Amino acid sequence: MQVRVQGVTRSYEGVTALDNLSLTIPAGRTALLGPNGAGKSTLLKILLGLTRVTSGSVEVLGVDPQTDPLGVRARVGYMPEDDAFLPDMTAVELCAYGAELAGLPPNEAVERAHAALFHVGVDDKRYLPVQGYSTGLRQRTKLAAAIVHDPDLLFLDEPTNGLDPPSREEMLSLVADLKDRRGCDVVLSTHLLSDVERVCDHVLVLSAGRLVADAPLKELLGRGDGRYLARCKGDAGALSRALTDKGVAVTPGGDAAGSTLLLALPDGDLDVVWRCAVDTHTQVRHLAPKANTLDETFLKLLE
Amino acid sequence: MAEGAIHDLKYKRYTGGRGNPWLRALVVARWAMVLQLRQRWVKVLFGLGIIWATVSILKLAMLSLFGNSGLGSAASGLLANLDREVGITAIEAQQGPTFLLVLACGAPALAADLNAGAFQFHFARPIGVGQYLLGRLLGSAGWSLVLSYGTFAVLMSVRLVLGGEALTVLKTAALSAGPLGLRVLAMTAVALGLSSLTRRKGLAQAMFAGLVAGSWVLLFGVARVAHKPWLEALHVTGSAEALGDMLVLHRRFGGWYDAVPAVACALWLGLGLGVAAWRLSRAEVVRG
Repeated sequence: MQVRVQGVTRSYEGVTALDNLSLTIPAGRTALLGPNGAGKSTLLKILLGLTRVTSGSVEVLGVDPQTDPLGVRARVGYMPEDDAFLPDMTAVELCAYGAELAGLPPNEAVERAHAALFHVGVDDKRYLPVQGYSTGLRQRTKLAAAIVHDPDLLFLDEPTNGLDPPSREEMLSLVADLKDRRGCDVVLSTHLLSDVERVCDHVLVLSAGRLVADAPLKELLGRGDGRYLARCKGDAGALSRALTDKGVAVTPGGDAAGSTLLLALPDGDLDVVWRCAVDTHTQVRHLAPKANTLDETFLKLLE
Repeated sequence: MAEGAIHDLKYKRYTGGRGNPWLRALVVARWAMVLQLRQRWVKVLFGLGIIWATVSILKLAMLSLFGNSGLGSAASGLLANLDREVGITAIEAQQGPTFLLVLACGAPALAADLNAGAFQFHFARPIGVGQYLLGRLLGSAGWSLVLSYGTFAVLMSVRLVLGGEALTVLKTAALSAGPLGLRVLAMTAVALGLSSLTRRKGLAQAMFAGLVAGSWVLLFGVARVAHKPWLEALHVTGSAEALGDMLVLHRRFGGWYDAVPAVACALWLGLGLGVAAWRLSRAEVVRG
């Protein structure tokens, strides 16, 4: 367990950003999801020791960020969504400076700056001022600056923001690789659910300052809610009508031929499908639970 | 191990110490000074400061030589106060260049940081507002301090070499060293305070130049007209210079007015840093 949040409430001028929130973040790659105003940014601020809680307790890597914010920030990395650079600095200088600010000696800082930039794939351009970089290079440089001081835990805020598809894929590969190559756990705050599916193995969903889901990604996606996808040969319309008469909610599966049906069977009773297929002389060639996409799950959780 | 085999050495975790957080202020200062030196204007101003220093040193050398030669009654009168004059010259020798250096380095410092997202960069790391601000103060004042104390050291050395009494020169140096540094630091603190109020570097520089020049005209003008010389000691740089006059030349305003230079100096320092700290404490590190 890398983070423990216990009964945390944070109010700003009458607005409750976090409402008696309790959660734990396990080792690995965890997604922090939620609509705008859900409390993600406030939670990140609290975990970085940048704002105080109104009530409750927090531990990050066994350290309380309320009492020892610098101790926490020495062991965690943060990659912000927006540009966070210093004017006129090259990528090497920026990373070396970041490492020195985290308390590393100057020689070690320069060495690790080169290693971090090599890791994220910033080549000779590392000797040029960062303000002239493309969006992709800037994101990579931000990632290098966030990992240069060898953090145990890394908070990433929309790391693929503004990237084209190839750059996005490369950035996600880098993020996915951090745990295996550097032993660095990751908390990914994003709106892009496909990024979460690609990288994370655990998901936390916040809504209106409360935790609405805390589960492994596989478990969350496996929640099919009794929906089945049936592919038919023959008169799919007749089967649909027969099932509807039996009280089964049926919607078209979405294929052009109209041969697939989406069936709602909350109690998992498949016999009704077979009986109706026999009655309507329709072949059911495929019948399997329909797994939710993360988008669907996310929207349901927020309802 | 087979000869020529390539072995993955794997990533090595950092296991060394992290140092005292307050030492990170020096990291901020050092990097700020390195970056400033890349600006053409800073190099030009530093060169100007060296020329300025050379003129002051030559003037002192000529006065010392002239006085030591025993020529003329004017020379002997001048020589009597020369050690004190050296102290005041040391404090005021770099008035122009240090003002311009602070205008170039200090006034835009926080505005540029605000514009580039540098607060996010800094405060997501193990550095607090106090350490960052101390680093910015030292970094922004750095080249001005180097120039001021460099000139100061050379002036004192020249005086020693050209006939100054060692004990007197050292005493003068000890008394003028403090006001010299305070003058630069107070000016830089005010520059940082104003700089924290805007994202626009030009506006920050204009505010600083306007405050220093405007208050100088106002305070020095009123002081002359109203015959209240202590008013000059309320000025950003005038306060430290008046403090130097009190310590080195034993000049007094009389009564509680003698406290004005020290109080004004502390107020400018506190006000500048206080405004900057207040603004920095509200810097958004995690936006959303």
